[in-house]
Amino acid sequence: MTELVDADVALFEQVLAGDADAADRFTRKYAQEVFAYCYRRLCHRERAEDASQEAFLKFWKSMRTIREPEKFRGFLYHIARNCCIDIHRSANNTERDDNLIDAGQELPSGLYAKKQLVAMIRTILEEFDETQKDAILLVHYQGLSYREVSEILGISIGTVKSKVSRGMLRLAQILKKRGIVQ
Amino acid sequence: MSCDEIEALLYDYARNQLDEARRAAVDVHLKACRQCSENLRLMQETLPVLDSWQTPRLSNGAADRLAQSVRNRNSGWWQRVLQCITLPSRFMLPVQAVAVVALALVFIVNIQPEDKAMVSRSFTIEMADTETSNPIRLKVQNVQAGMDDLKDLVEQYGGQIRRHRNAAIVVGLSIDPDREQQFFDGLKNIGALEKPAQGYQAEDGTLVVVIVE
Repeated sequence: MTELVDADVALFEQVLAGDADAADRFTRKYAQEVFAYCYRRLCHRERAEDASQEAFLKFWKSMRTIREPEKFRGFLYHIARNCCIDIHRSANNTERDDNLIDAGQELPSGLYAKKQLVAMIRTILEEFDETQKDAILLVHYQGLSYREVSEILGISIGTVKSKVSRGMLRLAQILKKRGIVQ
Repeated sequence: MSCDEIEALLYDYARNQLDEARRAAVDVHLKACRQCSENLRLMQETLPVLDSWQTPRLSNGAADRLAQSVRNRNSGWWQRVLQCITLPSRFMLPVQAVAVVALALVFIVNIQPEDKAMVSRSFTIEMADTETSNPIRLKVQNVQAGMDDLKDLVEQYGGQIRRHRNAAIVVGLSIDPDREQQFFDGLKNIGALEKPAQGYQAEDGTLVVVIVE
């Protein structure tokens, strides 16, 4: 897990104090991280960029309501999650996304297999309930702590642990049925 | 421990994230339970496979735009104007284009209500819809973002947006008169505010704000 270190909290405190350079460093540091989450959630590059931008703007507008600075990352992800939900609702979901492979598209066999595998993981996760899918994305892929994820999703730490572990096992069992793992 | 309890701990066990006491308890169960041992093996084999789902890097352009939009959000309209002037050369617009846009803005800003016939058609239609001849004008960088900010601000002040159209630029809203001045100060954080001395309210007291880019 990527635990927040004092330097991250100190940077955020500088941002709160109105330091423009710190704000720039903060945005660049977390932009990629938030984008990666939005991308995995929406599976669409442009929408993920829109969601990230929207999330940062909303975060900037409301960050002064954060009482404990060490909780800023959970707050940022909470907003990003809501932005993804809004964008997903309003988007035309029949549109092709970035992970699909065009018919007849020539790819090296290794890359083709990898894209197929990623598409399969995504499809399986789509069948999970929203909370379980988010718990897996946030803990396994984004490296957030159980405490942060429990605050983002509004469920207990124990429930997050259980949802992640059971969800990962279910994912493993489906991949086994499809011959991806032995 | 039951199999059900073990299931909830397998992920942390596979990643060596359990404390010693729990790890020992899971070990005891695994020695006696073939099914849970098989689940653990499957989990351990699957974790590296899941890592194949990498995400693309956020392009430098997108990261720059994001940082820029945050900077803009944090600054007043006059600072934004200064930022435009000091943008890196790749973002600079041709001087002639800037001059034409500036002249057009000056022209529009200076038009009085009785000059409606000279205003562009779409603007005239919108003006007719506002039920006032002299609405508050809010100049923003992006109409949709401006609308979102305005909605948030109105909610914050206990007001109500009475009608608006997503793709349009006219917003009618009501607000507590005692908090009106504070509200106008809030508008200045969203964009460049042009508030006429009077005539910006409809007959029913609704404030009329026109958002322009």
